[in-house]
Amino acid sequence: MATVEIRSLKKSFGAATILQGADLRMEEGEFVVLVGPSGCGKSTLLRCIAGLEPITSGNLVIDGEDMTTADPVKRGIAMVFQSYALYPHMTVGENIGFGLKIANTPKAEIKSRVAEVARLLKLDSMLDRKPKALSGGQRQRVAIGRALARKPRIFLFDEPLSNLDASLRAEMRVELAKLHSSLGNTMVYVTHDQVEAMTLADRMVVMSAGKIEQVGAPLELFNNPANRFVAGFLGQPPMNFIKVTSARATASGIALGLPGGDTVEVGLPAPLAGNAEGLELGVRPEDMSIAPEGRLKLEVEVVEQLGGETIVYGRLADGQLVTAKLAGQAEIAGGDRLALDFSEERLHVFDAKGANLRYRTPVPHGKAKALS
Amino acid sequence: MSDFISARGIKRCVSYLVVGGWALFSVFFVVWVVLASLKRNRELFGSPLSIPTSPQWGNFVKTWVNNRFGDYFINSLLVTSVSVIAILIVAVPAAYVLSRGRFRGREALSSFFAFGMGVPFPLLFVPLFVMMASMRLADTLTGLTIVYVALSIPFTIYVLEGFFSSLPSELESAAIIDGCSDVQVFRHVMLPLAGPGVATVAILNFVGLWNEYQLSLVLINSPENRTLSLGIYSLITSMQYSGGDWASLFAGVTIVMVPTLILFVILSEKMISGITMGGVK
Ligand SMILES: Nc1ncnc2c1ncn2[C@@H]1O[C@H](COP(=O)(O)OP(=O)(O)O)[C@@H](O)[C@H]1O
Ligand SMILES: [Mg+2]
Repeated sequence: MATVEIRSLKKSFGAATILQGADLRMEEGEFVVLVGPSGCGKSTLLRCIAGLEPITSGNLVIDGEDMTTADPVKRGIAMVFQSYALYPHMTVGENIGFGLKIANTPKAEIKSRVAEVARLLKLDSMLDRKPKALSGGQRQRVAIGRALARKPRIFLFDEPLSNLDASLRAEMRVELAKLHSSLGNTMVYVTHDQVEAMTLADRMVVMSAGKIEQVGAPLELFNNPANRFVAGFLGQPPMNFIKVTSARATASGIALGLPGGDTVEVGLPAPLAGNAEGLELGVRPEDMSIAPEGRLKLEVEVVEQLGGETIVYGRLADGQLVTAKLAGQAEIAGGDRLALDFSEERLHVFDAKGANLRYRTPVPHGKAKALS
Repeated sequence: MSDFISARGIKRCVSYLVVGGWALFSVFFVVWVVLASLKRNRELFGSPLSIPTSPQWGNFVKTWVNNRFGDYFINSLLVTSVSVIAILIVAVPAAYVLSRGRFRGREALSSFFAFGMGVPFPLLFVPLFVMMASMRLADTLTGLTIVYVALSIPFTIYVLEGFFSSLPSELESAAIIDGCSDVQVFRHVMLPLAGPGVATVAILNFVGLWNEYQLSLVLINSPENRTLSLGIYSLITSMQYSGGDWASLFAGVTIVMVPTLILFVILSEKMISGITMGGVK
């Protein structure tokens, strides 16, 4: 149905550069999630794709056609906003049919299309209500209905669930996933919630401060982050970053010194040895486990018993904070001393610039398909 | 904590007292004027606070016909309503563009309009009169209307600009995505939402122009072109010769008040109601 391609897209508001050259290709029918902390430029990128903000430089190509300066309506997109942005003076039916009305669609056709969309979203019984007489979840569905009505090529969502309460959000997340699989349209979805991103995305785009940090399938990003930012952004509780005390060359790689005197050996090129400055180990809390010979000696400060898992907050010998997520229930209390070990395979090493030294360049998209 | 609550309570009491007192004061005089307009002149001075025993509707007839208040009323209604409509036609789109448009010089233009509010009217009497005279519009209702429109625009744009800026901009984005041109965004979405703001400036302008006296005094000469406020004044002047017909004067004042009251009853609900509720969030 539709591919979207962004080529070195830049966006500035006056002197402030908000997007500093984004490159991205979205395949037909893909569910792409843009994720990143608040203020990193996700909405701005989405509004540039929608045509609500002029693109400062670079290109936007939809289905092979250059749309950099095209009117929003020519791009074949629909958008769902964070605030829903329903027209308060129109009924639900008028809201859903507004785009068709503006496009001079015959009345009978509008009516049948609105009825069809309303049935799909279970809004049939409230077509004559005004938005203020609807609950948050219903308003959300009307906003989605308005997007559906015009049969766009591409759907854009800007944090559509962030105004809903937690249980409704989980429900709508599933609804959206179903909607995507039944419609098969290309969808671009913005969120700052990593759970939403991980569960919905075919491909995830992690952004920070106006830059795309990494693009890939959710688990790929989780297991193989390109840099410290992506590693720290995904996962809850976040990855531990432990500063190493030394880096020494060995037969098979380099040995990194841990606080407390132990070392961990990782297969990295020898030239890195000698300079431990700024090197950090990245260990996910869930990759740690209690072991008698554990190399991380932790003095426990706080323990959170969640029933299914136990989260331990503590300090290493040199005072660095570490969080561990242990499976099941454990008899640990503040003040205890724990020895933790970790899986070396899942260990990451970050250099002073934040690049992941154990990053494995992924097999390109096409090849992976051919192999499988 | 309890200190805080009682401090707030006292504040509230004081404000209720002030507002309530002021409302009572106003209502008392309105009622008193209406009652006085139905009394005989002798009764008016004999027992100023009494309810009229036999209402003298003749006072109104006399004012309306003999004192030509009928003509003045039509003049005022014509000038005021045409002015208000013209003001809205000019100011509503202008305010929308000034609050949301993206073009160079927008802020300068906004400030320029705001500056217009700071010019005292008396400063304009002579130049306005000269200009109107040179266009042969002095002493005409058309001329008065043009002056009213021109002088009301800065204030109206200022108020409406604030109103438009308070409307959520995501609604505009949504309308653009739905395929609206700029004009369609205004017509189908922003204008309906601006209803309460438009009603507010319509009432304020109507009341202001209905009661306007100074400019009409400067610009209007002939008796047949008088507006109601000039009519009241001429009634007072004529009383110096004919002896005090106070009851007729109060009948005139009542006639002046009626349209404003009606307008408030019709539009005040619209002014207060926030129609945007429920659209976003
Ligand atoms: N119209 C605008 N004018 C100036 N700065 C803006 C405008 N819109 C957004 N910004 C700035 O761009 C940055 C990114 O905003 P946004 O894209 O909304 O972030 P996000 O959606 O990721 O939270 C923010 O710092 C914000 O202040
Ligand atoms: Mg945003």
